[in-house]
Amino acid sequence: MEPKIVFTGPPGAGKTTAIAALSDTPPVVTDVANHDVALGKARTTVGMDFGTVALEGGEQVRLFGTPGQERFDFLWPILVKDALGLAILIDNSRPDPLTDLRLFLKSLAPTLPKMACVIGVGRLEGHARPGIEQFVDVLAAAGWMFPVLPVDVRKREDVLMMVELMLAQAEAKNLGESQ
Amino acid sequence: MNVDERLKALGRRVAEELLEKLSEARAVVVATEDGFELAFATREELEAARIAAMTSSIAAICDSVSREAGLGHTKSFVVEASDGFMVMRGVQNGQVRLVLSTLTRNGALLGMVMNAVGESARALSA
Repeated sequence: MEPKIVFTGPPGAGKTTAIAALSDTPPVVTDVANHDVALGKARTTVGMDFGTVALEGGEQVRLFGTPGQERFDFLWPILVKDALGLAILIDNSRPDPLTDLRLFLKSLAPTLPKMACVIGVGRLEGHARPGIEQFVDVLAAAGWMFPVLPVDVRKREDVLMMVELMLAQAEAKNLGESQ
Repeated sequence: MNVDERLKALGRRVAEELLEKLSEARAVVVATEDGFELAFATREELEAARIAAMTSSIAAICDSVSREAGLGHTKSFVVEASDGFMVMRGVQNGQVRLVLSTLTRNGALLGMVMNAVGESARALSA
């Protein structure tokens, strides 16, 4: 079966945008009118996003996106099940991006040992703090060591870089397990 | 949640009347399409906020499936389980789209529940 990559993270971090930027086919979206004034956006995902991308070499990857709000946390483990990799997208313009990361690490802790993971931090250009090293510290404090990189989810090459990092991690993990 | 009080009051009235009408109903929840609980009526302890979030996800996925399959606009959707039904119906009230859900015990007649939910949906859209 084609590998499955899941994009998660708080609302507004760009999960739907990332999948739209990378997918070869028009993505399946489940966005609806947003009634939460605190979010400051017109529409929000409440079900899932789905797209596919063919990598160089022809490998097809399935891309899933989760809703970001905590009230939809029942969907996170459902969508993450059997994923090869997980991209946690963080919006650095939100009030407390480090707490956002801690929430997703905690909620998805049971599944994280089974998959590759990359943290993508967005909107760093206008919001330099917290910096990448602080996200690395949060990961270390929770006992994880995953790549953390700045991303612009509107740029296909940035999203593709995250996917390729996850595939490389998964391959290294497989190799390690087979030895 | 930026939904006006008039709509919340209408939601409460519709939920209470529907629960009263269906003896096998355990609960009625009215949710916004983005998963906020607008109103609910229940005969038992229930996490209405959780049900509201779940029904909005189901509604959005059903809408997406209908679009992909060329089925047009989704009207209602049913979860048929070993111990009862959940009948859900999308409702448009002005600019606000809602999901009206009725949770029933075993023994409820699906057709009757769907009909009652349909009538309540019309009242909620007015």
